Amino acid sequence: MSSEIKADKWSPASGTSATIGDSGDTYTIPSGVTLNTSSATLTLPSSVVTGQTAITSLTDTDKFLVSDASDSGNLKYVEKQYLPSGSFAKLSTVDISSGDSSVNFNSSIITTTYKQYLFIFTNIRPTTDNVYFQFKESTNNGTSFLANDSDSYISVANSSFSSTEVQNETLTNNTITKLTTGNIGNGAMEGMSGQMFFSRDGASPSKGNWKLVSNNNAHVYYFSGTSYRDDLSTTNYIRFEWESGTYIGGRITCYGIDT
Amino acid sequence: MMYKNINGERIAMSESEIAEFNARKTAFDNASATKKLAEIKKLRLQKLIETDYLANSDVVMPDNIKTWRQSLRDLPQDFSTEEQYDLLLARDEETGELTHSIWSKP
Repeated sequence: MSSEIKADKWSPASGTSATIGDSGDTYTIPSGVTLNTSSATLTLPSSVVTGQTAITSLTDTDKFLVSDASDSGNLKYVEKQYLPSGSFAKLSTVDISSGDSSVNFNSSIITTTYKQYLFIFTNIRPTTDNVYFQFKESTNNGTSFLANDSDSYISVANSSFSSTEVQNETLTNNTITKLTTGNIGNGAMEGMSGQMFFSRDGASPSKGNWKLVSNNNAHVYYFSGTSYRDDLSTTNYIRFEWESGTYIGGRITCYGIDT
Repeated sequence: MMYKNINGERIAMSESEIAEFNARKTAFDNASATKKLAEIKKLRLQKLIETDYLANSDVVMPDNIKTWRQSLRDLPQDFSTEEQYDLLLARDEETGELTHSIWSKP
């Protein structure tokens, strides 16, 4: 049996509250019906959000509900592609395992999306005492490495030096680029941290500049340096390794920088 | 098995990569004594410079300083093995100071 109520207004029989139906009931508002709550206070259950399926990544056309301040607070949506984003995109975080011979970022990380990259080194440590730290570049995703075309300059200060002493080291036409001198220790307190900016655009030589800090034999070392590689092809693979031996541990994080 | 790390993933090294890795290790090990001697000579130079002012014509250099400076000059002939280099380069773990007595100015 079906029935239909026709009334211009529903009001509580007594007091100021009333209930529609019972638990388990379903009321359907048909297509084409307008349920206008624009002037009312509408309380939604929290399951409106938490009851939905979660996603773990966003596409450019995913939408967010917003109240448009420039249009009387009317509800609108904005797509993910229009949300403000930082200029630094974290591309890869590598927690180094003891015994790893090298840390590499391949062409899935070093892409044409960015022309500038930032590498953050956190307490990286070699197994071999008193070695230098170096990197190599490849333009064929690590199949081979560019050779004999890296020029670099390292400046070294050490807390055991006199207040005016700085040591410099210049290298030309190298296959590797030295980031430090051979003073990186393997002791528990001797890890190295710091940063390196790396740029390449395929039209000019790739360039690096870095600042690194380590501790060796109770003296703090500060390395700063620059490099460029006399090759116009686009680097798409970078390898970080020690002069000799493997890593004990540490972390290297790679960011792409939107310039 | 030897590994490299690519984008956070451990991957076995190829035979050619292992050969290159071992070649670098061999080169490093072979150059070890040479690098230690270079470090010793650098330290020696610093110590000699600290007392160079005593060689000025208007200053009389004490005999014990003369003897000490000569022993510094003789380091390469008196210490010629890598084990002896290690003794000369040994440092206190806490202070980082060189522990061999030859570095102490009398």
